[in-house]
Amino acid sequence: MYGNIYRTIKINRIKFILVFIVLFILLVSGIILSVGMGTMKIGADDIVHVIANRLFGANIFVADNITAIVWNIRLPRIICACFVGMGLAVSGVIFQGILQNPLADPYTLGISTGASFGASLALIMNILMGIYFPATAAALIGSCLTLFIVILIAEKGNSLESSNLIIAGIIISSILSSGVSFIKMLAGESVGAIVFWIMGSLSAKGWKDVMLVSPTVIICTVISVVLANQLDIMALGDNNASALGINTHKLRFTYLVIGSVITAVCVSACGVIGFVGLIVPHLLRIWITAKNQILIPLSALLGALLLLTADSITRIISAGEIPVGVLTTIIGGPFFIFVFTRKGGSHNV
Amino acid sequence: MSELLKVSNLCFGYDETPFLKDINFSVNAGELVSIIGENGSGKSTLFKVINGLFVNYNGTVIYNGKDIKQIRHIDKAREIAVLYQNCQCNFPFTCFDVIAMGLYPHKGKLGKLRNDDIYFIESIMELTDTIELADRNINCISGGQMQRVLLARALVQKPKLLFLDEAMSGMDIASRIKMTDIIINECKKRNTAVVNISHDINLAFEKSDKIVAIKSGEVHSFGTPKDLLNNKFFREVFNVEVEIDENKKYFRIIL
Repeated sequence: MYGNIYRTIKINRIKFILVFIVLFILLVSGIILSVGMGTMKIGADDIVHVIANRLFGANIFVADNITAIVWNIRLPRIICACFVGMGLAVSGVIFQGILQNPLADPYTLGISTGASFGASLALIMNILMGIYFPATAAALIGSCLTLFIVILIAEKGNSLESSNLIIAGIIISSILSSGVSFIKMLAGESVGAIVFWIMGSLSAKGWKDVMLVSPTVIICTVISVVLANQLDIMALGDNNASALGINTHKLRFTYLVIGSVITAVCVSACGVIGFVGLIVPHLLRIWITAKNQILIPLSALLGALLLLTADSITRIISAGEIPVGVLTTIIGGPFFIFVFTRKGGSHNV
Repeated sequence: MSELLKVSNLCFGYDETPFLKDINFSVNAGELVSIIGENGSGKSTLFKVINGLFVNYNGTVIYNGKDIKQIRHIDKAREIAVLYQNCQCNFPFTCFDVIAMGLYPHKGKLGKLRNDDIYFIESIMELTDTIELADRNINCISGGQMQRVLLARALVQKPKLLFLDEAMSGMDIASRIKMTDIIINECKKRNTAVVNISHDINLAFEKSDKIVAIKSGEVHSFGTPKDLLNNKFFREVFNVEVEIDENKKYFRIIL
């Protein structure tokens, strides 16, 4: 028997690396495939040439219109989809970990509702008073303020315990939802703009959105991987975590800020895209491992792949473009139920 | 024997009224000390105060010559392990993952398990009979198996002091005896002191080096099982009468 565990650990490590490589290859090929798809089909060679020209200063001839479509329209949107998917999945892992609750997702604490409220406010000011304030910035401010209030309420309720945070999140979220409904009512016939923003969409995303989302997601993901061992221990409950040397209050606060920053930036850029943050960590926990040091990077890749796929489908099947948030939930929901029931319910999730 | 833990004049209250009053006792390295008392006598509160879960107490708790309030979380976890009655985990960690968490205080944030760490964990798993559970989901094992996994985690922590917070209540008699033997053997071998908070007075009298009896938030008596094994003690601490054999080794509660 002795030595078996050693072998199992080594085999598992190889398995994790292989899964990582496979997901990475799928993601890169997915990106190239997706850039090629659309009303105008573009070959992989042209795509590689455009990227080489732009990034590495190569001087390969590609038609101007193809360069414009690849570089200015499709690539930023696709890269944006990847980073948003990555960010939502990573913050899903984080929120489930700190709230010790597998049902949590990036939106549990009301950060998305805060963003929706901020954006709706900006849009209604534009509609009713003609004052222009960018919806993205308003959403970012709204989500940060929401987080601040939620932490404040939870702290007043004695500590940053998961139940305190969830209750505070639910209360604030409900209040802000009513606010959003009220704004929608005020908007009258122009309500479409607000509804469409809230549903979440990746259409017309440019490089400036990529520049907002990508550094935040990358930095926050790296920090959360560094602290991942502590997040594992938090899963055993606060008492056990303290006994193992974790300062639970400090760790929860740190992760809360990291997870919320990712969510706030993603929601501000692309609206509320549901389900990625809930489903990706769950699937990987069922299939691969619950260890966060492995789970976080794998979730990042699978989240990117999932949102990229969903976005590509919306681009192809609908000329008017179904919001990607609707598609992720329509496809993700039943798929999740299938996996969940096959694997024996929440004990294994 | 060197004094590892010394509790002096400890007073604590959840509100204005003091709940724990002037608690004094000490634990030497390698000793097994049981804390016993009725429900609501203050055992668990005492345990929480000593473990730093409440800090607004009067008096001192000295661990290894240092005030326990001044010791950092992580430094404390390198020397003191705690085994709770149960552990609620909502995620499908394997038993090996949970046991390996015991090395966290020694390995730090990015600590990667080296080969000798894995061999060390495996040796502890063999001792605690948890090898066959290694790949099992922590949520899909029995209560007794869970306690063995948590014990393995505590031993992996390489503690000098091990707290058991009613760790064996809820286990069947055979598992309890087996687990007690593992704890006593291993802790004697490693010179680890054990502080056992328990309702199991049979076990406390049979295995402990010393007993702290708590009554209404105060130390009623502190001494060896032999010193305390008398009718007066049981009458005052537990309100029961006992029959004690001539050699002062066994007792039977008279109903």
